[in-house]
Amino acid sequence: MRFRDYLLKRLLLFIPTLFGVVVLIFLLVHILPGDPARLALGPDAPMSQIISLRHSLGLDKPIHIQFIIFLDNFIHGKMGLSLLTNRDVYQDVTQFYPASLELAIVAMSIAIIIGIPLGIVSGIKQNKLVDHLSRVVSLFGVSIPRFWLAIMLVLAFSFYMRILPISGRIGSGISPPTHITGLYLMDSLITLNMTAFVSSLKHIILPAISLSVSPLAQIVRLLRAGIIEHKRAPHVMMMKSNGMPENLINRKYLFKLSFIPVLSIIGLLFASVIAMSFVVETVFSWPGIGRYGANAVLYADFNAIVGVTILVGITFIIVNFIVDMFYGYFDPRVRYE
Amino acid sequence: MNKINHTTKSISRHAHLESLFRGIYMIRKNVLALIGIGLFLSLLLMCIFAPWLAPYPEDAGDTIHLSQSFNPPSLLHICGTDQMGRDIFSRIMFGGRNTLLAGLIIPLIGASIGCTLGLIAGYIGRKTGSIIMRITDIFLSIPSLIIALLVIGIFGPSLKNIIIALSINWWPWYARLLHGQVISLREETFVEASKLLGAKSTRIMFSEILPNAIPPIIVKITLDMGYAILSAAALGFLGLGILPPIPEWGLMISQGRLYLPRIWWITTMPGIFIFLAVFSINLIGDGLRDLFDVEVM
Repeated sequence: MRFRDYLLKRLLLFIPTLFGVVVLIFLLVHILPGDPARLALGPDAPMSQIISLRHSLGLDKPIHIQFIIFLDNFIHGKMGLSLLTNRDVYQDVTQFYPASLELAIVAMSIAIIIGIPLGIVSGIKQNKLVDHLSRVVSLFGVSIPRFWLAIMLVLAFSFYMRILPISGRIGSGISPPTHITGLYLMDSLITLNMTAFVSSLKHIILPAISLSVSPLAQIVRLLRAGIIEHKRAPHVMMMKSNGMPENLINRKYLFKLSFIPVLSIIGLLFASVIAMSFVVETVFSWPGIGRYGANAVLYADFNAIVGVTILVGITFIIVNFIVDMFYGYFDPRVRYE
Repeated sequence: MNKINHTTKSISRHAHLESLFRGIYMIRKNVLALIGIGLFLSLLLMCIFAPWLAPYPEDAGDTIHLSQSFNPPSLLHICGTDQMGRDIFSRIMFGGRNTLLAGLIIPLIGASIGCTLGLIAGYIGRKTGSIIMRITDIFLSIPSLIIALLVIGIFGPSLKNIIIALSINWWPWYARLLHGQVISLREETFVEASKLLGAKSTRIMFSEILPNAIPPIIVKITLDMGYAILSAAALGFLGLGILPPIPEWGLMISQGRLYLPRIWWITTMPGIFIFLAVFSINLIGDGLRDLFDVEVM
């Protein structure tokens, strides 16, 4: 199978998965024996109020009708009113989404940029000092609670050293850059607005670091294991005994081979970053969908919960699709599965 | 003859030496795992016997000693006291019962659901199998914490709901893991043999295939206990778990945030315990992974 056919096949699989996710979320919400109307109004609300809220949320119609209405609205960019902001959830999530996306991208970039060299060095210099150090770092990385690390970082860098801001996305006196992509870092670079760029960079550092430790640790671990495994593979041994320079073997054969398992979990790591942004955004008052979603759950804002879940689901599917494309490129074997 | 004898002797001596080296190597390698087991067991016992061991057991509830509030860590209160004057170390001991319970139970429930489905999907195969695996894929296509939030959003916050919500989305990993194992195991000759001897499918599934697929599952359950503790604590931190005044590690951290930066110990101390618990579990998991020589995600 050629790469183009593989791409087409993946693209065709993309649509049913998307549909499956929407159906799953709808079913989870409507089949589980909770009552969103009662939950939103509290246990003491009179029955008449509950019935009228159920009516206005459309919860009194049969389930297949509800699903059709839900899909129809969804396609037309409507997700129902949020009880917290009193706007359509669609407006809310599209407003908050870029902030979360920016945070997740920066966090993943940190994890990849530091994790890959560290993993490679660790694998090549197995059982040397560098290796032991990087293993300790990665063991800490997967064991530390991210929201707690976030608080500790704020305590150290914002309260005691006073070099980084405590919360928010941009300094209070600075107006955000012109809206192009919604990502402050990118927008301020495009418009050459350096004050906004520096301020948003300062604001994003701590939340991004707190989110990046765990994916970083997992990248190091996996890459190290991959290199150690392939270092003794017959074809690498043969190249070595034929006198091929070690650097060339590493660069051309070993790294590419060891990188494949890392690539396969990058999608998962991205998902874990987005999921964990619920807590980290809460710590930093970061105006993203994580904080919005956490509040929605806390105040039982039914439509908002569904909206955030669907958006995160879609993001995850898109990320996995991109990862799969790289995967098919790096590892021709998967194209034939 | 003599020569051969001599060679065997030297080989056997060599083998002895090698097994000795290997033994030393295994112990050296597993020292970390042993430390992990020791650390985790002491944390667990400390929490289980909290009512007898805690220095101030009455502080687990909503007791108030305002005169004692905000005492920094000292010999009397090794982790300090909180806004109500309650001893934080005692609350950590009681709170760990909830956090650790969630961490231990969630992977077990997830594994039992997932393994059963994966076993059925892998062994029976065909339509049933592919339907089960498609459902698994769809579950895997949404981050697990998000489904958990959705479920808690519908049921309302509580520890029980956290356990249900996280277990619901822990199973697909096990289904996928076991499905892969079963597919390769069902072609083995010992399965073929018991089929020819007339064994029932349930017998083949549970007493022939399952025991052979166990090592990676044990490793995964162990490592997942760490993730489950972190997830449960994160949900507790968001206020979606146990409601005050009952202590829980994540919740304690979130309550302490109000008094930062001066009163740092209310947030710092429970976090250290979460870290220690997850750290020790990861040490054990890594040791088991080396022991069984399996790689799980």
